[in-house]
Amino acid sequence: MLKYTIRRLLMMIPVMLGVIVIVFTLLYITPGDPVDTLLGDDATPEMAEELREELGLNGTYIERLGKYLINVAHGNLGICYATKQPVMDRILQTFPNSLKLAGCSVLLAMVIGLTFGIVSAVKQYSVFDNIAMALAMVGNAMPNFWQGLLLMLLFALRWKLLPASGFDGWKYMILPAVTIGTSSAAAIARMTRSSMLEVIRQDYIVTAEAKGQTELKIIICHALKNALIPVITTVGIQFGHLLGGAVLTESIFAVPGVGKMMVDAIKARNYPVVQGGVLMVALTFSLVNLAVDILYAYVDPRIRSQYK
Amino acid sequence: MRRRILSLTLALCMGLSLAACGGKTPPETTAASDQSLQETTAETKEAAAGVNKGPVAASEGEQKSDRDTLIVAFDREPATLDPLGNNVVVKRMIDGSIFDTLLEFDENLTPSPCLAESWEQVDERTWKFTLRKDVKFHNGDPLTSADVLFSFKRVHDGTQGNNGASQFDPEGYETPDDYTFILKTLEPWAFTEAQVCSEALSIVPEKVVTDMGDDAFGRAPVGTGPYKFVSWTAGDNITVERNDDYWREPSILKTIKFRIITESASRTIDLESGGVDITLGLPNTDADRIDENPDTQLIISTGATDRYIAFNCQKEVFKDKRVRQALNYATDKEAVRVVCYGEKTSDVMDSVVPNTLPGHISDLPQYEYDIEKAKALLTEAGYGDGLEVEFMYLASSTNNMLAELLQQMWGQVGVTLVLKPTESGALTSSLNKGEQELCCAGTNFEIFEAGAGLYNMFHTERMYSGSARANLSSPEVDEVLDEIVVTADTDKRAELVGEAQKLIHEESPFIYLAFTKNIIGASSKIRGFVPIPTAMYDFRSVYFVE
Amino acid sequence: MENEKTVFKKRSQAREVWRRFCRNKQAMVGMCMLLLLIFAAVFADLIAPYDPVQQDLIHRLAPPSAAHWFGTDELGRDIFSRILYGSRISLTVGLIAVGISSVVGCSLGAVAGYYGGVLDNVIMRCTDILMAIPSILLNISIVAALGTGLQNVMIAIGISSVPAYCRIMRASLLSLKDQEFVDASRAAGAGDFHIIVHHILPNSLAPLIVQATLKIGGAILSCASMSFIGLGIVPPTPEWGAMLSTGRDFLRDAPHLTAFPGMAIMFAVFAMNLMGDGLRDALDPKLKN
Repeated sequence: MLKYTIRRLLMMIPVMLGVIVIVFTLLYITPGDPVDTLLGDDATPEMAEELREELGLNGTYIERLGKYLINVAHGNLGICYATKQPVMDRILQTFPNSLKLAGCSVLLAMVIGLTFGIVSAVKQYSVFDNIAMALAMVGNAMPNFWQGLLLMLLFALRWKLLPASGFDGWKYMILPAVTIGTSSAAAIARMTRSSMLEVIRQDYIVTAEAKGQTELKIIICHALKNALIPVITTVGIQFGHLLGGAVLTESIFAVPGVGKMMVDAIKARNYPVVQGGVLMVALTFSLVNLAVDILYAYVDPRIRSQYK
Repeated sequence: MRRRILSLTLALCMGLSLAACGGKTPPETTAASDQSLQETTAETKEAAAGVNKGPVAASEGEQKSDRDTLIVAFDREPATLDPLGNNVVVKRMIDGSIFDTLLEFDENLTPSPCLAESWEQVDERTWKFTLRKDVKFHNGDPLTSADVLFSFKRVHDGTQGNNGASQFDPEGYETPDDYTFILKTLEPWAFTEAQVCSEALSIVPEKVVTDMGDDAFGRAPVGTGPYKFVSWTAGDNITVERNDDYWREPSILKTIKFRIITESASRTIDLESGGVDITLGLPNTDADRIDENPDTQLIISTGATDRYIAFNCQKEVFKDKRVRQALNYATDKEAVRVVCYGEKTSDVMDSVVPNTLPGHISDLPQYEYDIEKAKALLTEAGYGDGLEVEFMYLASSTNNMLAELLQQMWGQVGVTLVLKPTESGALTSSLNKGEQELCCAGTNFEIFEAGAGLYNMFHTERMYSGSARANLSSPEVDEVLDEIVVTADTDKRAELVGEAQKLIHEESPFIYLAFTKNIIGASSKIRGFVPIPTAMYDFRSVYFVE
Repeated sequence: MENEKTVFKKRSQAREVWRRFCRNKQAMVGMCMLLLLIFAAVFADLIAPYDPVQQDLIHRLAPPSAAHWFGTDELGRDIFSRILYGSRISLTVGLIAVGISSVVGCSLGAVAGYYGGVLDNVIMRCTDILMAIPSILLNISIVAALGTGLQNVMIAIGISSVPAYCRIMRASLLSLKDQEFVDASRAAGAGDFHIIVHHILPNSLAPLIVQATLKIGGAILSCASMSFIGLGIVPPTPEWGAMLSTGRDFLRDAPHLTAFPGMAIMFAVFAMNLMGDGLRDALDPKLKN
């Protein structure tokens, strides 16, 4: 198991390297010069040249990439062009917010998704099943930013129940978490339902039924545990994607998250922040995936035996 | 020496801001020499009476509330609060509450005493400022001329692209004693006083900046202003607190929290739901509703911002003045203004100089919407069979509307407009290189001197810089602009500014779209907010009522 | 002889799938919705009462009425007509983006799965890289690099969903390549390409079709998100996402500007998802009684 974990961790190195190279290359070929955004309207060409020199923007592609890779290897993600803070500081300012938001929405999505999924599977083709699945699909089909604005109109403006935007405590978390969570909830519900349906027909469930155990006990003890594996994958992937991908929701609800920071940085050609941000998000995503795979091993002894 | 124009502007601006108070009578307008100016005053006042909303003073029977935190929402986060940093409006405003300058614009956009209690022009190039003796920085240190010297010198050495001191002689500063500061300009320069008001030349404490370093100072600034910096939560808010030892009347409220809400729809909803007290940069589409809502009030102040389409005069097709004029005739500017900038939230633009500034003339023969004239000019220029031009603009919903309108209007004279919405990073670089055929832009007359603005926008020297999107190069225009910057006499300068406007207008480098106003939404409980045209709002007098 | 047999068998299999699909009420609803969309897209010029880009500033922001069923937008254009024309754009975006990603993804996945070894390792690490970058950021970066416009948006969305197809294809190849019919074919002297295209691809189509159908909805949503950020299509193209994001400035005073494009997007995505689920159930009968 340990060996497996170490091997997976080592395999992450080339992936992270690839992430850096891809992002670096994309930014390199993107038209636009950070200096133009950084300097005011009345800057002279000399000022621009000086700043370009200072930021190290004059090197060739290879020189700059090499320099960046060496810095990253030393744990140095560079300095934000705009605020002149270390990129790590900027990430640490925003990353926890995204983490909190992603955590909240995944939790919410899991509670809703699992409940709906299980009930739908057990009562397949019932009214509840149909309504739940239809709701899940609506959740999946609604453009996020529209949904966010509508929720804000209803809960913040019409009913004055929740704050409209900002990030200042749990109350501020609810609307964005619901906005992001609904599509994840839908994904989880559908995954749970089909995975439960598959499990329910297995022999051991039939055996358990034959032994006269109550339905609830069968579902919780036998079916759910085995149906969880694909659900865990879905949750893991959703969590990873929410970390840096909740850009629009962060924008709408003014959440100072890492996704919004990166999009702003792309627009300002603030290369170090984009690269550092994407690297951190990718790293977290890979670690979450690893955690999911390890979790598998605990849920399913068959998989565990493969790792040995 | 410049009393007459000043008093005129004073009257004009008082008219604007006082119309907002409702009830109070604007002061008597002094006799105006120029017929057109008189007209403008009357017109603006009329508009102001209909538009400017928001009680500045509490009406009778209103109880002052003991709420002492004001939440102000705006649209973008500044990169730094260092006065030297990139000059975005938001930063200027927050900096304005943390720092003071030697001189400041009063409500008539005239330089008036601030940290310098008096000043005089010693000779053509030398200015002497006498500092107040009772000013302390937030850390308790007294303000001396050494700090002033340091603050000015910093601007020369700064790498953040601020050339606010480019006209000053870096070797010419002198501090004969602790409270006297002397500056010399490289050449005789007419805008010295206005430039000294600019926020880039805010006075910073030498010791603190040297100890902290520029970058750290920009994240936790210390100044002499009415508010002390408290905290900056990245991407969320910047909080400042009342400076109880302020050398003027301190603020009524204790805390101001500047919140960053980039999405404009959210910003308005947050105002209406009571999450924020003042929203700056309200979208013009929300103005009417904010006005009608009993929980909120609409405050509009006339600013000094132009909105226009700029032809790139260096591109082959637009080198021909007739093409530029033809497209000007082909544009229904009033329709664009109403649709894109709001009927009540903008004024008709009739010259490149905003109607709030001295020297604005309103008797230019406008390029009225006239398809036949446009067609004739195009045919004359050899484009009778049609023409394809590319419009590069910042991708935003207002600009998209503008682009779609132009596309349809110009289609009627045989001009195919290819739209190229571009995101900000690529756009600025392209424009700085002059790659665009035409673009839309806005100019904010930062130091409220028409001449200084025109110089930046139209002088050959400034081609391909941030303000000069038309890249116009015309010897006649240059000549007048060169004369303006060395003309100290205000009346004479205003005359020259008028002449420059005529010349520029004839060249038709721009299609005038609108003078946009500052649109502010506020909670109906807010009193004492003064919507000054500089948009550098002073929050000291703001308070809440029950 | 042999060929005929497989064709016969395939047809009967397809008929079986079709039969199961028809029995699934949700799937049928989805298909009807999709047909309606396709109908709207194909006959937009005939059905649409107005020119979708013709402005009418006097009647801007008009609420729904008999003359304009869905009202008019901020420039007085008929929203109903724009929605109809928009279905063309949205379906194109969906189909082409998914086309790009499935072709690229399947080829890479097939190569990786069939040859294995270093090639497999390299390709799979590349998909890991693409998966690790949040897709919206990848989309934004690609469009920023290539420039705004419908074509580049489709490319960006296509690229960022390559890994999913790659993985599906590889997984089914791994499970198929050692089966007897593949061995038999190889023994009969068939080349790699022939084996992949004629034997393996048909047998791994089911999960690919399901994935593709579900992803069309995803692509339409991604395109809308790009419009929101301002990196979508070039106006005045009546793309639903762009209409929705322009309409948000009028969210309160003219809600029909957002409501109809929003519902149109939901309608399309909903149809695709219903179809996808129906296909999955039909192709994978294990889940059915």
